[in-house]
Amino acid sequence: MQPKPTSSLVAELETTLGLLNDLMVELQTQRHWDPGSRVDQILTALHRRPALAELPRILLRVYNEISAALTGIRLTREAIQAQAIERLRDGHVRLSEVSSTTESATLEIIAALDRTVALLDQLQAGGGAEAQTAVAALRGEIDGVFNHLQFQDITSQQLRGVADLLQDVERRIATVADLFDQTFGLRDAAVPGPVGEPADRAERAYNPDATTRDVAARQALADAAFGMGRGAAATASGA
Amino acid sequence: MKCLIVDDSATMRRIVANALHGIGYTNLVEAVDGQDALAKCDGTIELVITDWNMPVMGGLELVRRLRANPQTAKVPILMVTTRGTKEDILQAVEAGVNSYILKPFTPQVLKEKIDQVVSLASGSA
Repeated sequence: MQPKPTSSLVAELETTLGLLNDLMVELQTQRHWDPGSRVDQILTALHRRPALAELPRILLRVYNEISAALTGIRLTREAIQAQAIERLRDGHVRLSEVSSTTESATLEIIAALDRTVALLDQLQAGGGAEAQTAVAALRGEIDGVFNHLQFQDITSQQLRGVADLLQDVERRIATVADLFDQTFGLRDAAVPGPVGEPADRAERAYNPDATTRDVAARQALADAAFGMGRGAAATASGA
Repeated sequence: MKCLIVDDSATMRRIVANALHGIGYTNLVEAVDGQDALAKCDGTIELVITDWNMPVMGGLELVRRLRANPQTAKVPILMVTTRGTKEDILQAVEAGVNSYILKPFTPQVLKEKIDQVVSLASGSA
Protein backbone atom coordinates (compact mmCIF):
# COMPACT_ATOMS: atom_id res chain seq x y z
CA MET A 1 0.00 0.00 0.00
CA GLN A 2 1.35 3.39 -0.98
CA PRO A 3 1.79 5.83 1.96
CA LYS A 4 -0.42 8.91 1.75
CA PRO A 5 1.32 12.12 0.67
CA THR A 6 2.27 14.34 3.60
CA SER A 7 0.06 17.22 2.36
CA SER A 8 -2.94 14.88 2.41
CA LEU A 9 -2.17 13.72 5.97
CA VAL A 10 -1.80 17.32 7.10
CA ALA A 11 -5.16 18.24 5.54
CA GLU A 12 -6.85 15.30 7.27
CA LEU A 13 -5.27 16.19 10.58
CA GLU A 14 -6.33 19.80 10.21
CA THR A 15 -9.92 18.75 9.56
CA THR A 16 -9.93 16.31 12.50
CA LEU A 17 -8.47 18.80 14.95
CA GLY A 18 -10.80 21.51 13.70
CA LEU A 19 -13.77 19.22 14.38
CA LEU A 20 -12.40 18.39 17.82
CA ASN A 21 -12.03 22.09 18.59
CA ASP A 22 -15.60 22.76 17.47
CA LEU A 23 -16.80 19.89 19.63
CA MET A 24 -15.02 21.28 22.68
CA VAL A 25 -16.53 24.73 22.15
CA GLU A 26 -19.96 23.23 21.70
CA LEU A 27 -19.59 21.08 24.80
CA GLN A 28 -18.57 24.05 26.89
CA THR A 29 -21.14 26.52 25.64
CA GLN A 30 -24.26 24.46 25.07
CA ARG A 31 -24.19 22.03 27.98
CA HIS A 32 -24.34 23.00 31.59
CA TRP A 33 -21.98 21.01 33.67
CA ASP A 34 -21.68 21.53 37.39
CA PRO A 35 -19.01 24.15 37.98
CA GLY A 36 -15.95 22.40 39.37
CA SER A 37 -17.02 18.97 38.12
CA ARG A 38 -14.39 16.72 36.49
CA VAL A 39 -15.89 17.22 33.00
CA ASP A 40 -15.95 20.97 33.49
CA GLN A 41 -12.31 20.97 34.59
CA ILE A 42 -11.22 18.96 31.51
CA LEU A 43 -13.17 21.17 29.08
CA THR A 44 -11.80 24.34 30.66
CA ALA A 45 -8.24 23.03 30.54
CA LEU A 46 -8.60 21.99 26.88
CA HIS A 47 -10.11 25.28 25.93
CA ARG A 48 -7.31 27.26 27.53
CA ARG A 49 -4.67 25.47 25.41
CA PRO A 50 -3.56 27.05 22.12
CA ALA A 51 -6.14 26.37 19.50
CA LEU A 52 -5.59 22.79 18.35
CA ALA A 53 -6.73 23.76 14.90
CA GLU A 54 -3.47 25.71 14.59
CA LEU A 55 -1.44 22.51 14.89
CA PRO A 56 -1.87 21.33 11.27
CA ARG A 57 -0.71 24.72 10.01
CA ILE A 58 2.35 24.51 12.25
CA LEU A 59 3.05 21.00 10.98
CA LEU A 60 2.63 22.16 7.40
CA ARG A 61 5.06 25.01 7.98
CA VAL A 62 7.57 22.55 9.48
CA TYR A 63 7.03 20.24 6.51
CA ASN A 64 7.69 23.09 4.08
CA GLU A 65 10.86 24.08 5.91
CA ILE A 66 12.12 20.48 5.89
CA SER A 67 11.35 20.28 2.16
CA ALA A 68 13.31 23.48 1.56
CA ALA A 69 16.24 22.09 3.59
CA LEU A 70 16.16 18.86 1.57
CA THR A 71 16.17 20.85 -1.65
CA GLY A 72 19.21 22.72 -0.35
CA ILE A 73 20.92 19.43 0.47
CA ARG A 74 20.08 18.07 -2.97
CA LEU A 75 21.58 21.18 -4.59
CA THR A 76 24.68 20.87 -2.39
CA ARG A 77 25.06 17.26 -3.36
CA GLU A 78 24.71 18.10 -7.06
CA ALA A 79 27.25 20.91 -6.63
CA ILE A 80 29.66 18.45 -5.01
CA GLN A 81 29.25 16.14 -7.96
CA ALA A 82 29.53 18.85 -10.60
CA GLN A 83 32.19 21.10 -9.05
CA ALA A 84 34.36 18.74 -7.07
CA ILE A 85 34.21 15.24 -8.49
CA GLU A 86 34.18 16.22 -12.15
CA ARG A 87 37.00 18.72 -11.69
CA LEU A 88 39.05 16.18 -9.77
CA ARG A 89 38.55 13.68 -12.58
CA ASP A 90 39.57 16.34 -15.06
CA GLY A 91 42.69 17.05 -12.98
CA HIS A 92 43.52 13.35 -12.98
CA VAL A 93 43.23 13.19 -16.77
CA ARG A 94 45.43 16.27 -17.18
CA LEU A 95 48.13 14.84 -14.96
CA SER A 96 48.13 11.62 -16.99
CA GLU A 97 48.43 13.73 -20.13
CA VAL A 98 51.42 15.64 -18.71
CA SER A 99 53.10 12.38 -17.74
CA SER A 100 52.45 10.81 -21.13
CA THR A 101 53.62 13.91 -23.06
CA THR A 102 56.80 14.13 -21.01
CA GLU A 103 57.59 10.48 -21.62
CA SER A 104 57.03 10.86 -25.38
CA ALA A 105 59.24 13.95 -25.46
CA THR A 106 61.97 12.18 -23.47
CA LEU A 107 61.93 9.22 -25.84
CA GLU A 108 62.22 11.65 -28.78
CA ILE A 109 65.23 13.26 -27.11
CA ILE A 110 66.79 9.81 -26.59
CA ALA A 111 66.22 8.97 -30.27
CA ALA A 112 67.88 12.26 -31.25
CA LEU A 113 70.82 11.47 -28.97
CA ASP A 114 71.16 8.05 -30.60
CA ARG A 115 71.34 9.73 -34.02
CA THR A 116 73.89 12.18 -32.67
CA VAL A 117 76.04 9.32 -31.33
CA ALA A 118 75.89 7.66 -34.78
CA LEU A 119 77.10 10.90 -36.36
CA LEU A 120 79.89 11.12 -33.80
CA ASP A 121 80.96 7.57 -34.72
CA GLN A 122 81.29 8.74 -38.36
CA LEU A 123 83.25 11.83 -37.33
CA GLN A 124 85.56 9.79 -35.14
CA ALA A 125 86.24 7.31 -37.95
CA GLY A 126 87.36 10.00 -40.39
CA GLY A 127 88.78 12.70 -38.15
CA GLY A 128 92.23 13.62 -36.92
CA ALA A 129 93.49 13.94 -33.34
CA GLU A 130 91.68 17.21 -32.82
CA ALA A 131 88.40 15.71 -34.00
CA GLN A 132 88.94 12.71 -31.74
CA THR A 133 89.25 14.99 -28.73
CA ALA A 134 86.14 16.95 -29.69
CA VAL A 135 84.16 13.77 -30.30
CA ALA A 136 85.18 12.36 -26.92
CA ALA A 137 84.07 15.58 -25.24
CA LEU A 138 80.76 15.50 -27.09
CA ARG A 139 80.20 11.88 -26.05
CA GLY A 140 80.70 12.95 -22.45
CA GLU A 141 78.11 15.69 -22.87
CA ILE A 142 75.65 13.26 -24.45
CA ASP A 143 76.13 10.79 -21.61
CA GLY A 144 75.38 13.65 -19.23
CA VAL A 145 72.15 14.46 -21.07
CA PHE A 146 71.16 10.77 -21.01
CA ASN A 147 71.74 10.75 -17.28
CA HIS A 148 69.64 13.88 -16.68
CA LEU A 149 66.72 12.31 -18.52
CA GLN A 150 66.14 10.13 -15.45
CA PHE A 151 64.08 13.10 -14.23
CA GLN A 152 61.25 11.87 -16.48
CA ASP A 153 60.91 8.53 -14.66
CA ILE A 154 61.02 10.23 -11.26
CA THR A 155 58.61 13.08 -12.05
CA SER A 156 56.28 10.58 -13.71
CA GLN A 157 56.14 8.63 -10.43
CA GLN A 158 55.51 11.85 -8.50
CA LEU A 159 52.67 12.78 -10.88
CA ARG A 160 51.14 9.35 -10.49
CA GLY A 161 51.32 9.84 -6.73
CA VAL A 162 49.42 13.15 -7.00
CA ALA A 163 46.91 11.57 -9.41
CA ASP A 164 46.29 8.80 -6.87
CA LEU A 165 45.80 11.41 -4.17
CA LEU A 166 43.19 13.17 -6.32
CA GLN A 167 41.45 9.86 -6.88
CA ASP A 168 41.41 9.29 -3.14
CA VAL A 169 39.86 12.74 -2.52
CA GLU A 170 37.32 12.00 -5.27
CA ARG A 171 36.39 8.74 -3.58
CA ARG A 172 35.94 10.45 -0.23
CA ILE A 173 33.72 13.17 -1.73
CA ALA A 174 31.67 10.53 -3.53
CA THR A 175 31.22 8.81 -0.17
CA VAL A 176 29.91 12.08 1.33
CA ALA A 177 27.51 12.50 -1.62
CA ASP A 178 26.40 8.91 -1.10
CA LEU A 179 25.75 9.68 2.57
CA PHE A 180 23.44 12.52 1.50
CA ASP A 181 21.62 10.10 -0.77
CA GLN A 182 21.17 7.50 1.93
CA THR A 183 20.24 9.95 4.70
CA PHE A 184 17.92 12.26 2.79
CA GLY A 185 16.51 9.88 0.21
CA LEU A 186 18.14 11.49 -2.83
CA ARG A 187 18.61 8.14 -4.52
CA ASP A 188 16.99 9.38 -7.73
CA ALA A 189 19.98 11.65 -8.37
CA ALA A 190 22.77 10.19 -10.47
CA VAL A 191 25.53 9.15 -8.12
CA PRO A 192 29.02 8.59 -9.49
CA GLY A 193 30.16 5.07 -8.72
CA PRO A 194 32.88 4.75 -6.09
CA VAL A 195 36.34 4.51 -7.57
CA GLY A 196 38.60 1.65 -6.55
CA GLU A 197 40.78 1.67 -3.47
CA PRO A 198 44.37 2.68 -4.16
CA ALA A 199 46.83 -0.18 -4.21
CA ASP A 200 49.09 -0.75 -1.25
CA ARG A 201 52.38 1.17 -1.46
CA ALA A 202 54.47 -1.96 -1.99
CA GLU A 203 52.20 -3.16 -4.81
CA ARG A 204 52.06 0.12 -6.70
CA ALA A 205 53.72 0.39 -10.08
CA TYR A 206 55.34 3.62 -8.90
CA ASN A 207 56.80 5.18 -5.80
CA PRO A 208 54.86 8.29 -4.67
CA ASP A 209 57.88 9.34 -2.57
CA ALA A 210 60.26 9.36 -5.55
CA THR A 211 62.61 12.34 -5.50
CA THR A 212 65.62 13.76 -7.31
CA ARG A 213 66.93 15.48 -4.18
CA ASP A 214 70.17 14.76 -2.32
CA VAL A 215 70.89 11.67 -4.32
CA ALA A 216 74.53 11.36 -3.21
CA ALA A 217 73.61 11.60 0.48
CA ARG A 218 70.68 9.21 0.06
CA GLN A 219 72.90 6.74 -1.83
CA ALA A 220 75.41 6.86 1.02
CA LEU A 221 72.64 6.13 3.54
CA ALA A 222 71.34 3.35 1.30
CA ASP A 223 74.81 1.83 1.12
CA ALA A 224 75.08 1.95 4.92
CA ALA A 225 71.65 0.36 5.39
CA PHE A 226 72.43 -2.25 2.74
CA GLY A 227 75.72 -3.13 4.42
CA MET A 228 73.97 -3.37 7.77
CA GLY A 229 71.28 -5.61 6.32
CA ARG A 230 73.84 -7.87 4.66
CA GLY A 231 75.79 -8.06 7.92
CA ALA A 232 72.71 -9.00 9.90
CA ALA A 233 71.73 -11.60 7.29
CA ALA A 234 75.25 -13.10 7.37
CA THR A 235 75.19 -13.23 11.17
CA ALA A 236 71.77 -14.88 11.15
CA SER A 237 72.82 -17.51 8.60
CA GLY A 238 76.06 -18.18 10.51
CA ALA A 239 74.30 -18.52 13.86
CA MET B 1 78.39 -10.68 -20.17
CA LYS B 2 74.66 -10.91 -20.91
CA CYS B 3 72.68 -8.43 -18.87
CA LEU B 4 68.91 -8.19 -18.32
CA ILE B 5 67.45 -4.70 -17.73
CA VAL B 6 64.02 -4.74 -16.10
CA ASP B 7 62.04 -1.49 -15.87
CA ASP B 8 58.52 -0.48 -16.90
CA SER B 9 59.84 2.92 -18.01
CA ALA B 10 61.17 2.84 -21.58
CA THR B 11 63.22 5.93 -20.73
CA MET B 12 64.95 4.21 -17.82
CA ARG B 13 65.64 1.05 -19.82
CA ARG B 14 67.28 3.18 -22.47
CA ILE B 15 69.28 5.21 -19.92
CA VAL B 16 70.53 2.08 -18.14
CA ALA B 17 71.39 0.50 -21.50
CA ASN B 18 73.35 3.60 -22.51
CA ALA B 19 75.25 3.58 -19.23
CA LEU B 20 76.03 -0.13 -19.64
CA HIS B 21 77.26 0.44 -23.20
CA GLY B 22 79.55 3.10 -21.82
CA ILE B 23 81.23 0.62 -19.49
CA GLY B 24 81.51 -2.15 -22.03
CA TYR B 25 78.31 -4.17 -21.62
CA THR B 26 76.76 -4.63 -25.04
CA ASN B 27 74.86 -7.91 -24.78
CA LEU B 28 71.64 -6.54 -23.32
CA VAL B 29 68.11 -7.87 -22.98
CA GLU B 30 65.19 -5.70 -21.83
CA ALA B 31 62.02 -6.61 -19.93
CA VAL B 32 59.07 -4.37 -19.00
CA ASP B 33 58.15 -6.05 -15.68
CA GLY B 34 58.98 -8.98 -13.43
CA GLN B 35 56.88 -11.45 -15.35
CA ASP B 36 58.45 -10.47 -18.66
CA ALA B 37 61.88 -10.76 -17.00
CA LEU B 38 61.18 -14.30 -15.76
CA ALA B 39 60.19 -15.30 -19.29
CA LYS B 40 63.49 -13.90 -20.59
CA CYS B 41 65.69 -15.51 -17.92
CA ASP B 42 66.70 -18.52 -19.98
CA GLY B 43 69.82 -19.48 -18.05
CA THR B 44 72.15 -17.34 -20.13
CA ILE B 45 71.58 -14.13 -18.17
CA GLU B 46 74.64 -13.24 -16.07
CA LEU B 47 73.51 -9.97 -14.49
CA VAL B 48 70.07 -8.58 -13.67
CA ILE B 49 69.41 -4.86 -13.16
CA THR B 50 65.86 -4.34 -11.99
CA ASP B 51 63.51 -1.59 -10.88
CA TRP B 52 61.28 -2.18 -7.83
CA ASN B 53 57.87 -0.62 -8.60
CA MET B 54 56.47 -2.14 -11.76
CA PRO B 55 53.04 -3.32 -12.89
CA VAL B 56 52.12 -7.03 -13.21
CA MET B 57 55.10 -8.18 -11.13
CA GLY B 58 57.36 -5.88 -9.13
CA GLY B 59 61.11 -6.11 -8.71
CA LEU B 60 61.02 -7.56 -5.20
CA GLU B 61 58.86 -10.49 -6.28
CA LEU B 62 61.10 -10.99 -9.31
CA VAL B 63 64.17 -11.23 -7.06
CA ARG B 64 62.45 -13.76 -4.78
CA ARG B 65 61.47 -15.90 -7.78
CA LEU B 66 64.94 -15.74 -9.28
CA ARG B 67 66.47 -16.77 -5.96
CA ALA B 68 63.99 -19.63 -5.62
CA ASN B 69 64.97 -21.03 -9.01
CA PRO B 70 68.23 -23.08 -8.89
CA GLN B 71 69.05 -21.92 -12.44
CA THR B 72 69.05 -18.24 -11.46
CA ALA B 73 69.70 -18.45 -7.70
CA LYS B 74 73.28 -17.17 -8.01
CA VAL B 75 72.81 -14.51 -10.70
CA PRO B 76 74.02 -11.10 -9.44
CA ILE B 77 71.07 -8.73 -9.04
CA LEU B 78 71.18 -4.94 -8.77
CA MET B 79 68.09 -3.08 -7.66
CA VAL B 80 67.85 0.38 -9.25
CA THR B 81 64.96 2.23 -7.65
CA THR B 82 63.63 5.47 -6.17
CA ARG B 83 62.79 3.70 -2.91
CA GLY B 84 65.34 4.55 -0.29
CA THR B 85 63.94 3.92 3.17
CA LYS B 86 65.79 1.61 5.51
CA GLU B 87 62.79 -0.75 5.52
CA ASP B 88 62.83 -0.92 1.72
CA ILE B 89 66.54 -1.69 1.66
CA LEU B 90 66.28 -4.39 4.33
CA GLN B 91 63.44 -6.00 2.39
CA ALA B 92 65.61 -5.99 -0.72
CA VAL B 93 68.50 -7.58 1.18
CA GLU B 94 66.16 -10.21 2.57
CA ALA B 95 64.84 -10.99 -0.91
CA GLY B 96 68.39 -11.56 -2.17
CA VAL B 97 69.47 -8.36 -3.90
CA ASN B 98 73.26 -8.05 -4.28
CA SER B 99 73.47 -4.29 -4.58
CA TYR B 100 71.20 -1.29 -4.29
CA ILE B 101 71.26 1.88 -6.40
CA LEU B 102 69.04 4.90 -5.97
CA LYS B 103 67.63 6.82 -8.92
CA PRO B 104 68.79 9.15 -10.29
CA PHE B 105 72.14 7.34 -10.48
CA THR B 106 75.36 8.31 -12.18
CA PRO B 107 77.14 5.95 -14.58
CA GLN B 108 80.06 5.94 -12.12
CA VAL B 109 77.88 4.55 -9.32
CA LEU B 110 76.41 1.96 -11.69
CA LYS B 111 79.88 0.84 -12.77
CA GLU B 112 81.13 0.69 -9.19
CA LYS B 113 78.20 -1.47 -8.05
CA ILE B 114 78.37 -3.76 -11.08
CA ASP B 115 82.10 -4.27 -10.57
CA GLN B 116 81.46 -5.17 -6.92
CA VAL B 117 78.72 -7.72 -7.54
CA VAL B 118 80.40 -9.26 -10.58
CA SER B 119 83.72 -9.69 -8.79
CA LEU B 120 81.96 -11.18 -5.77
CA ALA B 121 79.97 -13.52 -8.00
CA SER B 122 83.07 -14.65 -9.91
CA GLY B 123 84.96 -15.07 -6.64
CA SER B 124 82.26 -17.28 -5.15
CA ALA B 125 81.76 -19.34 -8.35
